[in-house]
This record gives sequence, structure tokens and C-alpha cells, in this order.
Amino acid sequence: MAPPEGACGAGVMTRDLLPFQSALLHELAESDARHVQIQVTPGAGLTEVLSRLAAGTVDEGGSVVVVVGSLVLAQQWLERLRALAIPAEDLRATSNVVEALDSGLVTQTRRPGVIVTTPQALMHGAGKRTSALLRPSLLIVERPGRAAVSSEPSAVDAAMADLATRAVRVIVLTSSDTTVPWLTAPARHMVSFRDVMEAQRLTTEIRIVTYLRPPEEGELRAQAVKLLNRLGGEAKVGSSRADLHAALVRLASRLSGEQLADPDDDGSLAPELPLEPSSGTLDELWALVDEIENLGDDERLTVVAALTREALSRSRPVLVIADRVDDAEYVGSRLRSEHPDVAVLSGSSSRDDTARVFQSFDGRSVLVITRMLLQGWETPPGTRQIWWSPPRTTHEAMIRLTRGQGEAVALIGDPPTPAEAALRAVLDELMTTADVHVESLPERR
Amino acid sequence: MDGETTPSDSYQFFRVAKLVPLDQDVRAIPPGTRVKEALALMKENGFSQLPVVAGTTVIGVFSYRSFARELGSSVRRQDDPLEAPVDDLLEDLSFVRATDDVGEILRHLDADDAVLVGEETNLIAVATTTDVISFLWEATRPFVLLQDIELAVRDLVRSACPSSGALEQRIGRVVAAEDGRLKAMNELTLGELIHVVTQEDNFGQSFRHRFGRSRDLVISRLEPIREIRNKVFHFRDEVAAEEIDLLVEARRWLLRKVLAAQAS
Repeated sequence: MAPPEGACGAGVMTRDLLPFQSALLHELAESDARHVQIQVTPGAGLTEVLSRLAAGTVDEGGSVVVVVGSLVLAQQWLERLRALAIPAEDLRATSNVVEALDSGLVTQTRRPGVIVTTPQALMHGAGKRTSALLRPSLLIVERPGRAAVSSEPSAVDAAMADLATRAVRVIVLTSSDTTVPWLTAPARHMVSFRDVMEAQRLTTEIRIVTYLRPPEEGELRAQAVKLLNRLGGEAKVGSSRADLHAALVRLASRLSGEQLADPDDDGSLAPELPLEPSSGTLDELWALVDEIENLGDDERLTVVAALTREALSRSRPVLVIADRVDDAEYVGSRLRSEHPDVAVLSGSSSRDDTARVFQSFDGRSVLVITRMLLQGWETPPGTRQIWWSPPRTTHEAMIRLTRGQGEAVALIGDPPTPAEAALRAVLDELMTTADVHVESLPERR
Repeated sequence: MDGETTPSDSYQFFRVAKLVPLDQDVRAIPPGTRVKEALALMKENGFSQLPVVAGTTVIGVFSYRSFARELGSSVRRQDDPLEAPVDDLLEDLSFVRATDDVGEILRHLDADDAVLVGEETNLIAVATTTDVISFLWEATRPFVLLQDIELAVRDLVRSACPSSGALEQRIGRVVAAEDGRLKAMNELTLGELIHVVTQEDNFGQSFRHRFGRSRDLVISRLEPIREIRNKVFHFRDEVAAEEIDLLVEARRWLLRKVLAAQAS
């Protein structure tokens, strides 16, 4: 049973938490299980819950280490902890780890406070030595990457397993019911998508709009994907023309000798291309780029413009979600020709600009954002989300749906791209597991 | 950790800690290690030097240079130098602190090509001249890429306009100086320059011949650059790897457009 509002055991506060969050915090605070695994759904606000638990631990003189899989998540943790006036050390960057080690900031003696870091920062040299000195009262590992939750041993596994042996208590958040190899008989908790949607009284309405993809674009897309696959470049190509264009320019850049980051990895370079390209390959690639630039009107943009107009006529704000900033600018460009105030936000935008646009977002607003910016922002009621880039997983779809009360529109071309076809499977899963209502609208031609 | 200022709370000048690569694992060897084993380890890992550590204390550094320098005086002619222990073939490198200013350690790097970070009994990392070069390359790369991009866009704009009058007209459609006069192209910010290119009339009339027919695609390539430029030039946060990639890709794309324009 959940404790009275605002009070909880072990010095943690539950004020302003949703009932399921309070109940979970209470259970965690009262439990004496050494290893805990929480299968968490996006939007459940577990960072908030666990930061309260961390605050309670620090208040009692304990130390906490939080390990998260990305720099963005780490930043969110730091901001949350600092808002709660909890001493928090940022050990995300190697330079900070080196300085902390050299200054004696990290010692074998437990000091009250929280250290926020990433597995990558703890895996080598100074980070490994720092990790060996840590004896946390509470270790929180949020969203370990694929490698960390697979049954295959990995470097991340090894680093986390090592740190876990020195922690008094370990809490791991996972996105699925998976086995974490370095947890021993963990107490299990689950926060379901249904819990989150019900607690926040969110609707789950998704509309599918089908549009016609012109045959010449379909042919070009097929040629491009064939070429990309042949060169082992990037088989994953999004559904928009801008995404296809970007994938080809990216591969042409790599063939020209440029070193680019590996999109699937945090910080490393893209692997070498498996095949030595022939002298004509680069010309072939650029010729395809030219052909894409010379295609006629993009029906996908026309459909999004119509959906935007229709939402605004009913005073519903429009939020378009794209994977990449260039894709966001592509759709933003078309929307701006009808609505000059359309804003495009990405990770490159300043925090002030982002905060200002989010704050003024209302029934006359059209905003295009990259998907990473969705985290940590709740949209106003009635917002129409347009999924310019389809969510690649059910998890990602859930993140979008838990941002606020409204509706989502998914675009599926005829013929569909692989990403659009995969979206069908995601929607089917949502319908089965979470009462999500999916409706197909008449085809737009 | 008792609420004191943390490294991330305020800006700090280029410190030695910034030079240490993310994946650096310091490898050390004990005294008595034979030269051939040390050389094999250095070759295998691409190191130019190896600290020699007794217990937790650094007693010196074995390097290609120290080997060459000490060979004549420390190894007898009849002995096989590869079988000799490294102990008599060491050099002393300077110890610096992680919080030291990079400028202050350059003289040590100039003399020895490397410094040791930490203390004699607490070796944390090794910083080398190559690390400084890598660090400076990473720090300056966005500026170099942005320069290429901006100059390439200017070049294409200029070549797309049949006369200076036409160029002035295209610019005048979009921007004017505060005193009301027309701005010259080299006075335009990158944002203004992109605006000149993508303004509908300008694009349809001139620039589609240079940048490609799809205005939306041109905007998708150029607009992100404007935001990244602001981030770089206002020193706002670190430039992310994917932002560097966008600059690299835009530069390549523009380079090809420039070459096509030159050939036409």
C-alpha cells in the first residue's frame, strides 16, 4: 500500500509524484533487496522517482553513483539533482574523471553525494581506476545499452559488474523484461505503459495516413538502397527524400576519405567500408544525389502541409517529429511557406531558444523537432503529433505518446519504405499491449 | 562533494586533463623488464614510451629516444642490447597536474614529447605531443569546415549571378544594412547568406542552377549549418560528433557544386 502523500520511509519525499511513482518510491525505500531490476516504460518519470531515492540516501550520509547510457540522459540527471540541491559530481567527460582522480576528489572513503557518469567514462584508464575507488551506498544504472543487457559478455557488462560488486545496493532500469547478467536474483518491479497512460489520463489515438509515392522516387530509392547496401555503407535509410539524400551524401563523403562518426555508437568512428569502391562509384552516387534533387513535388510534404492546416483550423498545435536535423529543416522549409513562424529545434539549438519555443507553444504553433528533444517536454493538450520519421521501436513510440494528451499521425507511403512497413508492426504491438486505438484515414492522392 | 564547485560548473582554460584520450589505458612495466619485451609492447600498442613503475612509484620512462640516447653508454658492446633490462635506459619526464594549463606544459612537450599526469606515486595518464595535436585538431576542425562552407556558398552565389547588379538585387531582396544601404556580400552573416540563396524568387531565378533544383533539399543541407555556426562561434556547449558530420557532409556537397560550376 502506498504511504500518505508527501511522506515516505528512509527520508525520501513523495510530494508531487503520481500515485504509481509514490508507490514505487515507497517500495524501493522500504525494500532490503540488494539487487533490484525495474522494467520501465518511457514517460514513467523514473528519473524523478530515483533522484528522490538518491536524495534520501545522501541525506542519510550515503553516496550514490548514477550510470546512464548517454550524455543527454546524464545531463538530465545532473539538472534534476541540482534542482533538488543534492551535491552532484559530473564525471561524464574523461577530463573530469582525470581531474577528479588527480585532485583526490574520488577516494575510497564514501562521501555523501551523487556521481553521474556513463559506462564509457568508466571503462578505460583513469575511468577504470576511478571506478575501482567507488564504494557507493546506491548504484543506479539507467537504460543500459543493448550490449549491457544481452547474454553475451561485453566490456560494458564487465565494467558494470565490477562496480556492482562494490555497491551496497544496485538498481537497474531496463526497457524490457530482459536478464541483466550481473544482477543476482534481483527483486523485480514493472511500470507498464498502461499504468503511465492511465495515471496521466493520456489518450492513445494514432491515425495512419497513406500517401502515394511516385514511381520515379520509388525507383531511385531502390537504386540508392542497392548501392548503399553494396558498399556496406548505411542500409538504414529513413522514409523521406531528405533522409535518402543525406544518406547518399554521407556515403559519398566517406568514399572521399572523410572520417565520420558511427551513428550506432557513442563517440567512435564509422567502421571502414568493407569494399574498395571502383572509380565510377563516386560518380554513380553523386548522379543519384542529382536525380533526387531533380525529382518533382514531394507528396509527403504536401500531405504534412494539409494535416498541419487542418489541425490549425481547429486551434490544435502541431508538433512534427523527425529523426535528424536536416530532415527537420526539410519539412520545416515547406511548412514555413504557409506558416512563417514555424520553428525548427534540434540538439544544436540554444537552450534559451528551445525553452522559449516550448513555453510559447499553443494552438497557433507549428514546431518541428528532432526526436531527442521530446524527452523531458510535455506538450499541451490537443497537440497533433505528426510522425515525419516513424518511430523505429515500440519503446520510441511510447516515448512520443506519453508526451501529452492529443493524437498522433503516422505517414505510410504506397509503396512503403522498410521503415514505414516496420511501423505497422510497432502499431500492432501497441494495440495489443496498451489499448492504443489505431485508425486508417482515407488514402491521399 | 560537499556542494563545492565542480569541474563542470564554470569554464576552465585548456587544462592538461583535456588532452587525455577517452580510451587511454596507461601501460607500465616493472623494473627489470628486458628491452625486447618493452619494445614489443610499445610496437603492439603504438606507444612511444612506457613508464617504469616499482610498486606504485614511477622510477622513469623507457622510450625509443631514451633507448637510443643511453644505448652507447649503458650497454656493453659485447652484450645484446635487446636482452638488457630497461632500468639503465630510462629518461625522466616531467610530472604535471591534470588541472595545469596546457600552455604551461608545452616547453616540457617540446623537450620530451610527453609528460606524466599525476604524481610520482599516483600516475594517472600520459599526455603526448600527438595528444596535443589531436586535441587542437578537434578544437579547430569546426572553424575550418565552417570557413570552407561559407566561402563555397559565397562562390556559388557569385557565380550564379550574371552581373554585380544582379547580385545586389538578390541580396537587396532579403537584407539591408542598418543605415539603409545595400550590404555587400562579404558583410553578410552566414544566416543572411543562406536566406539570400533560399529566398523563393532568388532561388527560382538564379540559385537553383547552382545548388540543385529542390529548394527544400537545399534548405535541409544549409539551415543546420547556421545553427551549428552560432553554437561554434558563441562557444555554446561542445560540438557533437553528428554536428561535425553535418559540416563535413555539407562541405563535400558544396565542393561538388563548386566544381560543377567551374566546369560549366
